[in-house]
Amino acid sequence: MIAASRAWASGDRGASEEASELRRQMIEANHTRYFELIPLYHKVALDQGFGKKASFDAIGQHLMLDAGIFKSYEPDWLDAGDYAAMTEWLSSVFCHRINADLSGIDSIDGWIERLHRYQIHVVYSSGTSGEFSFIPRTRQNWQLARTANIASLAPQILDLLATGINSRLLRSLVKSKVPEAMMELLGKRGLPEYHAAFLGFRQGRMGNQALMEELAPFFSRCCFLYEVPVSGSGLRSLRRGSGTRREQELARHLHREVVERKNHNYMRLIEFTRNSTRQGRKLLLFGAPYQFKEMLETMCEQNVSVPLNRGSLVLVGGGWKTFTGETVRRQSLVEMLAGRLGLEDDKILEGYSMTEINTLMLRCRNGRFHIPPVIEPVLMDSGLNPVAAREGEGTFGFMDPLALDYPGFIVSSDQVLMVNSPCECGLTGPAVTRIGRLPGSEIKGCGGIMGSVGA
Amino acid sequence: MEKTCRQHGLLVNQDGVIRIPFMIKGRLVLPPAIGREEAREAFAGAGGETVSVTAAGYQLLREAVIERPGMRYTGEFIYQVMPDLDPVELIETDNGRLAGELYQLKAEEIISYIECIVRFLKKHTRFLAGIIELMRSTFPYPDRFLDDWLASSYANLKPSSARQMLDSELAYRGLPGSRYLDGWVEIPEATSTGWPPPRCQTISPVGSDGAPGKTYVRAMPVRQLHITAGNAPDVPLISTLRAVLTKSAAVIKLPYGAVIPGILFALAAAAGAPEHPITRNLSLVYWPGGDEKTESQLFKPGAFDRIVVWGSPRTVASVQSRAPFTRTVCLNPRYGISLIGREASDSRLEEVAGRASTDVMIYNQKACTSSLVHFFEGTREQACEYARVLGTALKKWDEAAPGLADPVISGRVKRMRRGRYAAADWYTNTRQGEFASGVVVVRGGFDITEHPMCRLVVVKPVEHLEDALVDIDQFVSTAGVYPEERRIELRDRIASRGVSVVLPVGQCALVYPGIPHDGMLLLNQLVDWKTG
Repeated sequence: MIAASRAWASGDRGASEEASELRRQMIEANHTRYFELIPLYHKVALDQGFGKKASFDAIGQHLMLDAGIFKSYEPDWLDAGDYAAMTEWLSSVFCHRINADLSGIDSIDGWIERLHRYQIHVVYSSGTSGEFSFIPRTRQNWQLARTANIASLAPQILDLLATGINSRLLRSLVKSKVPEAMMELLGKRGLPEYHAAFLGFRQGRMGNQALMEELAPFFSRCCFLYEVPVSGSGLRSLRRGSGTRREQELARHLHREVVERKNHNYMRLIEFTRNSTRQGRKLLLFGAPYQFKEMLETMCEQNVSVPLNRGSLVLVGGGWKTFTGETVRRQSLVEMLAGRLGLEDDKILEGYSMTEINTLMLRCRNGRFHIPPVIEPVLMDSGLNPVAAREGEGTFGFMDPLALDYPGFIVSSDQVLMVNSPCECGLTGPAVTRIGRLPGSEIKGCGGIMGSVGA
Repeated sequence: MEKTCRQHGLLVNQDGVIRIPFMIKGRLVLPPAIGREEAREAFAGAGGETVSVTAAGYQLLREAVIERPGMRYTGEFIYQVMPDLDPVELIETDNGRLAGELYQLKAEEIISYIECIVRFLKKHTRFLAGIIELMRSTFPYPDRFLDDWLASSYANLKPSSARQMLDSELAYRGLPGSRYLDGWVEIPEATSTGWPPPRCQTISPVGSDGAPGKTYVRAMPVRQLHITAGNAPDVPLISTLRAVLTKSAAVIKLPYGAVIPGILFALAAAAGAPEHPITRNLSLVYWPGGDEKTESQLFKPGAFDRIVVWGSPRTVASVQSRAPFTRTVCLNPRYGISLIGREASDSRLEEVAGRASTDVMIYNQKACTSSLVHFFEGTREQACEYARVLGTALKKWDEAAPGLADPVISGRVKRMRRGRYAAADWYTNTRQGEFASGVVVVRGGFDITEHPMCRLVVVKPVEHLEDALVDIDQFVSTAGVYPEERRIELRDRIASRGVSVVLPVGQCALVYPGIPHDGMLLLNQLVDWKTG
């Protein structure tokens, strides 16, 4: 599937179609795996009248889970710091029974860190309610997802970088190497021409943060907007206005870094950008729309412009709406990026993803978020039934064959417009062209949560 | 009324389009005549969720047609055409005129006015029967609810009830409220204890006036803006009645889904008592909630003295934030609960579940008193047994008064069942394979904002009924308790947590004239108490 994704991203028009049978088989195999190993999925399947076997169509009709399954724990457990109960719950949405020594844990961060020692990689996301979704993966599954992402994203990104020996080299590398070997080489060689500026925390397991942590090692130099790790407990405490003394302390620390030192942090990041550019480096800037807006507003206030070197890129992801209800307009951000950083529209990439999915979908120059063949998108109607045609308006659901450790048949709360026709950019298969939230759904994503901290 | 409607083609379904007038200060304002194609065209660019659009010279609503008795959406719409609205026209600025005319009316005259409206409506039963049929095509509640609606509306408008509301909700110092609404009432024992204190009175160069003068109090009418909600068709009528009883120069914003019931009152007033000061100061209109053009005018300081807002948390918060200088009476979104003691666990389970289902079914679980969560005292197994029996009771309701098969609701229940509440025990009734009603026994907490309010009961087992208290807050309007001894025992503790009504299970739909609403005597909030 990963190879098919790479071929598809490299412009192989038949790759998507060829992968579909394999994808279906994997999805049916995953059903069996989940049924046997994931207690909560097992219960849902039984409730719906299914056993070990279910057809691809039946899964789409009856076994698509709401993303809320990843927050089906009791918030009281977190309030009380009962990480044994949380771990027990996490086991119920995971293919593996977790037996971990949990002594001395007093925060979400500590819990996640401890599970990491047991090769369990937990990422989380939050919405307006401040209730976190936790998604567990084994380290192997996490690495698999990383490989899949590199395989589908690298050709698309390199396609935008028309110049430079290294770009050409990389492009031929992407086509000639198997994804795993490419990953290894990329890991060793990195991207020496590039520096990276991440509009986020140095470390963290929340949405964009997790991706930043993954991307950072590829760059020769990195700068983070906040040179500290993001604290899950601190964030939760800030949203819910409660928590233990330790959590409140973490919340204060977070507040200081994000609110009180905001200008200082943005200025430091801008300074890094300027220095890297002077040194002739290309830059990758990655963050949520809300943070880019703040950075560019700071540049406007200080009357600073830093025309980036050719080949530089901006990657935007994490939703356009903040929890405070403010919507960042794409066009105005594009104009500001052009004005302050000298970036053309086609060097501004935008990604669509969620913590429950193992793939990042990139927006092409025609405004489509192309879905790689490794994902089976399922457009759902308001009654949560799959729409037969894979196009039109509906709720975005997906079956992710690479979700080997947790249930990967998920319905999000995103209301999307899906198209399924060849795109002028050269990519084929289904794509999303418009993303909104279902009425009544909480705002989610890094743009939202980070905006809320500053509010 | 009937003649006016016939003459202008109002309140009649003409090829899927219904023309609805407004009443602005007693004057009927007619909408333009538009055809079905034009109406469809107006919604052409709008998303599927859009229910209202504004075009040049008119406003348009669309309501989904429901096939009966199947209670399913047909996919068709009925369009309601209404006039465009100039908000400035709605605002009354001539306080002098109000003080000299409307505010001088006596309680007797108000009650006669209401009598006149009711009499007028009753004279046109055949016309009203037609209106009921008109409403039926998009009415999301069971037929039985609609068939009883007119009778319950007449009960709300009974002269004796109106008198009781006035006399009890505005009562002061042992005197009936209507006295204070009629005019100034002397407060005999009132003596001055104010400023300056007696020893300082000689300091004043003019000295003291001697014996204190007579003191009078009156309940002075105010200009009211009511923003009503459509969760129950009675809401616009209740708001209108409150405005009329308090002699207000009032504007009633009718809600999507219940425009016609409100307009019926307007038509009866305009035809039955066109020159009455109440009619001439009453407006019943619609605009899309949140419409900046309209609301920026109406929420201006001084435009109204009171804003009464019913509705969703978003509506209430939005009005409060945009009208900070106008006193706002918020009828917040609240819900009902039931507390079932272990005494129900034996042979009474069926009887108690049957009674509890009545509280669940108040306005199809859409009213702010409808019971959404049941706390059951007992083990999880006992709670599951209660859930099973309650599910059977709800099934009887489904058969006798089938609810709307709404795909959105069905989708929400599926999400709960395959998501956050996947670990819970579910007992559901289905109709043609889709959710009709059900009970879910949760393991731990429940986020009430996720409740779909569609004949779904959340059961929480508790070891002791008192354990439920921690989950009770001011968002709970009504608590039904079984058995009676436990209700009496727990009543104060429940009420102290913010609950407005604590009644026996099965009786939570109780209303009587002058009943407190959300902890308030509402009419009392709709007047200014003056001393003079």
